[in-house]
Amino acid sequence: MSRFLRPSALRTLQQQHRNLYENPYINRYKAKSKVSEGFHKKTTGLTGLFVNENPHRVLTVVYGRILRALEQMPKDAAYRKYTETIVKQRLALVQTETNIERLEQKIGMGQIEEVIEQAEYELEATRAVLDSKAWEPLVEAAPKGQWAWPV
Amino acid sequence: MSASGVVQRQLKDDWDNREYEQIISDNIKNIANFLSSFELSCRSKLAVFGSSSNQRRHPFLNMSSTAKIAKTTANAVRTVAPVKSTNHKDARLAVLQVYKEFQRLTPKFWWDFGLQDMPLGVFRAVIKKQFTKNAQLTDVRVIDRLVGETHQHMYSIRYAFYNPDHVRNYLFAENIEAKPKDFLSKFLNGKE
Amino acid sequence: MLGSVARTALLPRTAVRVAAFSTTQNCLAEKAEEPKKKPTIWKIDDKKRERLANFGRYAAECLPKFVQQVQFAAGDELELLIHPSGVLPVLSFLKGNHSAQFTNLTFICGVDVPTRKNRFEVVYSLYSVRFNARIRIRTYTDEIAPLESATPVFHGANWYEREVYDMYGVWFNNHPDLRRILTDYGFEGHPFRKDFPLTGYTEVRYDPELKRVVYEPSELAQEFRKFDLDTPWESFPAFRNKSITSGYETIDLKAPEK
Repeated sequence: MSRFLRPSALRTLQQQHRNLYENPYINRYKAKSKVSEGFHKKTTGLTGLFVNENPHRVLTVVYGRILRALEQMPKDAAYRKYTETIVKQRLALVQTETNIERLEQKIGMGQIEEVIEQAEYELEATRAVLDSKAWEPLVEAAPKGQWAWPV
Repeated sequence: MSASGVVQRQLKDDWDNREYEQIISDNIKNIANFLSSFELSCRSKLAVFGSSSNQRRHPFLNMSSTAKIAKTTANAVRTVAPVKSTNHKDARLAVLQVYKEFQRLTPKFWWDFGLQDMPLGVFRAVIKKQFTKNAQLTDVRVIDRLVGETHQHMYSIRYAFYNPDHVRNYLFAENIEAKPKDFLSKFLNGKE
Repeated sequence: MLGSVARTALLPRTAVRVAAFSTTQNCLAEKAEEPKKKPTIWKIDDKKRERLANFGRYAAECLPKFVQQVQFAAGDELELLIHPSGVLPVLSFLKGNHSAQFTNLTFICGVDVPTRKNRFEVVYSLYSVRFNARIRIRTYTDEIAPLESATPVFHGANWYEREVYDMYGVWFNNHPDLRRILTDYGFEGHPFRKDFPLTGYTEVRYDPELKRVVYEPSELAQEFRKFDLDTPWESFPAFRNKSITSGYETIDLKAPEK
């Protein structure tokens, strides 16, 4: 068949055969969702949430950051008290339990990747609370009749 | 023959010139009217100028109450959230900055939106007028809001979200006829 | 508020239809045993309500600087009424806190009440996928005072805020691209304001001389009259004697119930 084709067309055909379309987004996605052999799961089953193979390290780092941010708040701030309790509890679990599946069971908040995501959101929340000094008394009461309904 | 021809020609000339005469007399009347109204307005303006404060109302937002509040912040009646700048100096700087930025954008704006029917200098003056028409504003928050809106306008111009039609309608309002002011043209316009 | 009334009224009707359908299928078996429920009223789950009230107190305790009031609307819908300067911290607290996890932004909308000192209200509605709970955050502003944009916390807030800006003219600071979303680019005014005229300020036509679409001040031969647009039928007869705020209850922040 190649006898009847012009060289340029032939070249295109060969290229198509070799490599149809190099999409960088798909490549990046594939690189991210690669899981090493022998790991207990291939995927989290949730879109956009990739398997994390060493959650202990990540969690320790993020929890450490949260605790350090919390230390800058006053001791009696309610947010600091509640968050410190739960973060320290989780950190203790992470440090004592080495098996990932058992750790998931003990934390009881779904897969460990979800727990990591929660921790990252909590870090953002902590920083927002710290920046805005949200433990202080009320900035300003609402003007009279602002929340009255019907007016 | 010749006498009647001359008379006829004169008559014809008169007939041809009747419109000019009408126009000239109308114009004389107009000038007289204008002068009298000008005198009246000058008198009233001088009278007002003597007594008025330099406070003026914001033209398009019903902001009289907020302006008052912003003025009284020094008395700690209510702390209002500033848009960006905290005092009048900052607001002025922000306006100057955005004005410069806009004038830097103007050649591209002029070219991209097909406004070549006027020279670039004229168009720059048009842009400047958009800024100077708000010169009487004193409320910092209103000024900041307008600066924010100007940034948004520039963004929309740069990325061609606006069409030339929008720009022409907004800047020149060519389509809107001036409202009739004197009695006769109101009457002829058939409204009121 | 009104939506919840509609829900209490509308949802049971579908329930009736479903119930009727199921009884035709296996009527003989269940007819005798099950006591007849009254399906036309939204049943408020007291335990869930209690948990929500506790969460409201918890949030108010954590963010005393911004939360002005915590209340239930329509019986069991939790609302946090906050100061406008606290939009970002409150939203990121609700998204990030381990016991909240309201990661889904359902909507943002505006309300206009011209008689108030701050005439606009902005309402954020969040949903917690983890705990299957909803919460609404309400704050207020006037024509000029800006709110902080919620886009750093929720990317989905982008278009909702553009909509609120378009419809009410509320300005959001640090929004990536705050332009009109529903109306045209040359549009004047903000249509959902109560003082926006029913006919609008401008009308549009094609001008053959200028060869483009032009806007003109709208002129009507006859001014719009006041039409009676109320339906002659009663919409919610079951709620005839109920006040619109009967489901409202402010939660006491100081003394938690047991």
